[in-house]
Amino acid sequence: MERNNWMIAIPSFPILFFIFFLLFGSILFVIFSNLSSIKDKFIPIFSSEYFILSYLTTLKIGLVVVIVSAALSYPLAFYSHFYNRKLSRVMDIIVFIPLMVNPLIRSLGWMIILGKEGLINWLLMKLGIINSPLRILYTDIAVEIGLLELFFPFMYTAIASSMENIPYETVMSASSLGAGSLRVFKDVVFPLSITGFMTGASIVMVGCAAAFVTPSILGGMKVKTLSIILREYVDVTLDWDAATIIAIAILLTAFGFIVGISLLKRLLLRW
Amino acid sequence: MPENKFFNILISLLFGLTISIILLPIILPLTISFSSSYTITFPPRGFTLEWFINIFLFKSLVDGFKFSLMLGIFASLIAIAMSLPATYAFYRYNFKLKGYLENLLLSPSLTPEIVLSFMLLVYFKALKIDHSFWLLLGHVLILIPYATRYTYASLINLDISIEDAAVALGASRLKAFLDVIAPNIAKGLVASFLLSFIVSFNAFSISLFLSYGETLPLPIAMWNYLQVRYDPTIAALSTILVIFTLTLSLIVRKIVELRGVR
Repeated sequence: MERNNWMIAIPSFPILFFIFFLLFGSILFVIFSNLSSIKDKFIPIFSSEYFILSYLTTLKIGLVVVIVSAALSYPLAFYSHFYNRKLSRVMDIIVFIPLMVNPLIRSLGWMIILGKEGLINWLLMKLGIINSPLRILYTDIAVEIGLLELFFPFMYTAIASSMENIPYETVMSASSLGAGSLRVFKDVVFPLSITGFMTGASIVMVGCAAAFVTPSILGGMKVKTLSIILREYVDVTLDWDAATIIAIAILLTAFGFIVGISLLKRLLLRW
Repeated sequence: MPENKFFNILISLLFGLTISIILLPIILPLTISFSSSYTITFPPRGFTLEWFINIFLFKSLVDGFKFSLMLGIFASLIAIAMSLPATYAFYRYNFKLKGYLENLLLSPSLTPEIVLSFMLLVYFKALKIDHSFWLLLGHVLILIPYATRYTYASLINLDISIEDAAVALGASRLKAFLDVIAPNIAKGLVASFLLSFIVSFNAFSISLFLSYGETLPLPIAMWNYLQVRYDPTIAALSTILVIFTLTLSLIVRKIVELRGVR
């Protein structure tokens, strides 16, 4: 039944009002009510070494997580979708489990693995590869590993669902014409699923820029991502103007990624 | 099947690596929680149940659990009660702007949670909203995208013509919805409630910024505990929570095969 009557939208008014009042209301209010006090602080903060370093750290961590999670997801999604449907169902469950477990608990798990008296150091010392424990926890690498585990499911799901749109026959015909699986992947599957990768990349990038609990625990407040310095300004230095500016920076970066990647996707589809 | 041996080995290695990355951090706290060592070290030594008893000696953890439970239940109920009418209208009718409205409902999940948390904190302070509502409002807001998506998924298999049939037979629109539609989507709604509850129960940034006073949601209480002590108590609590949330999600999978829910 098709109706173009505005009354149909009435049931959604309460929830829309709620979103407008809290989400858009809070963002617009915070930006505009403080505009006079923060407008002179944008340039000093954006040009400070502290901010630039933190911004670059956040970008670097996000980029590493995007690359590694895609490198893991692509072969697994490709193989399980086209050659082994049973594995595909197993993967669906495996990527579902971590989403149900508190990120704080998973970070604790990584502390047990990466810590000075953790699994990796114990293993390496037992094997005699190292004599004194390696420092992995409280470094960028620890944060990247934790975030990789946090966001791998999203990258995998995005790539796997873009492969669902590739007809099986396409892959089979490429194979029967003599292309090896690597060639099939490179020339057929990869170009057809690039939009899935891009969706995944924007989710992971935005997620890494906004993640708090994982960098706070695995970075021990030493790895200063944007969200960590936002919390510092709110809680330690009590400089809420600076915090507002950092929040705006995170927001703009996140929207920049979302808009940029969706434009790129549109461009690719036309081409 | 790909003929290439090298390729098969590569896939097995990647699969093993992925499984360990995903599952090890969830399983390891479990092994540590029985360790009799006083700090968290690997490998675990000895066997004790002391840490499980120790959880109950910390009022902040016990209260946090109760508080998160209540918060999760109320926030999920409110989020679903608000999203059901909207998603039902979207499912049933096509109208101009529908696409835009649907995207609007997902917008809280597109805003980075830490930014949203901070903005809400400043906003609530300025509007002088009572502290006791901060967490509830914040949680309902971040649950809306999930509640709408899950509720929508529970409607997917519904044949809307049964509502028209009931109306043709003389029932009012409201009665038709309550008597004919509601029983058909009840299972889906329960699943949607449980999944929203898990999201609220695990939420961190929003709880950190908006909690006020003595009683803190469990993740924040655990985070504070970890800043001070690093002993297996927290691993024991993690074990309980992993079992708790995974059981809930198993129930969801048992009740209903929600498609597209991740």
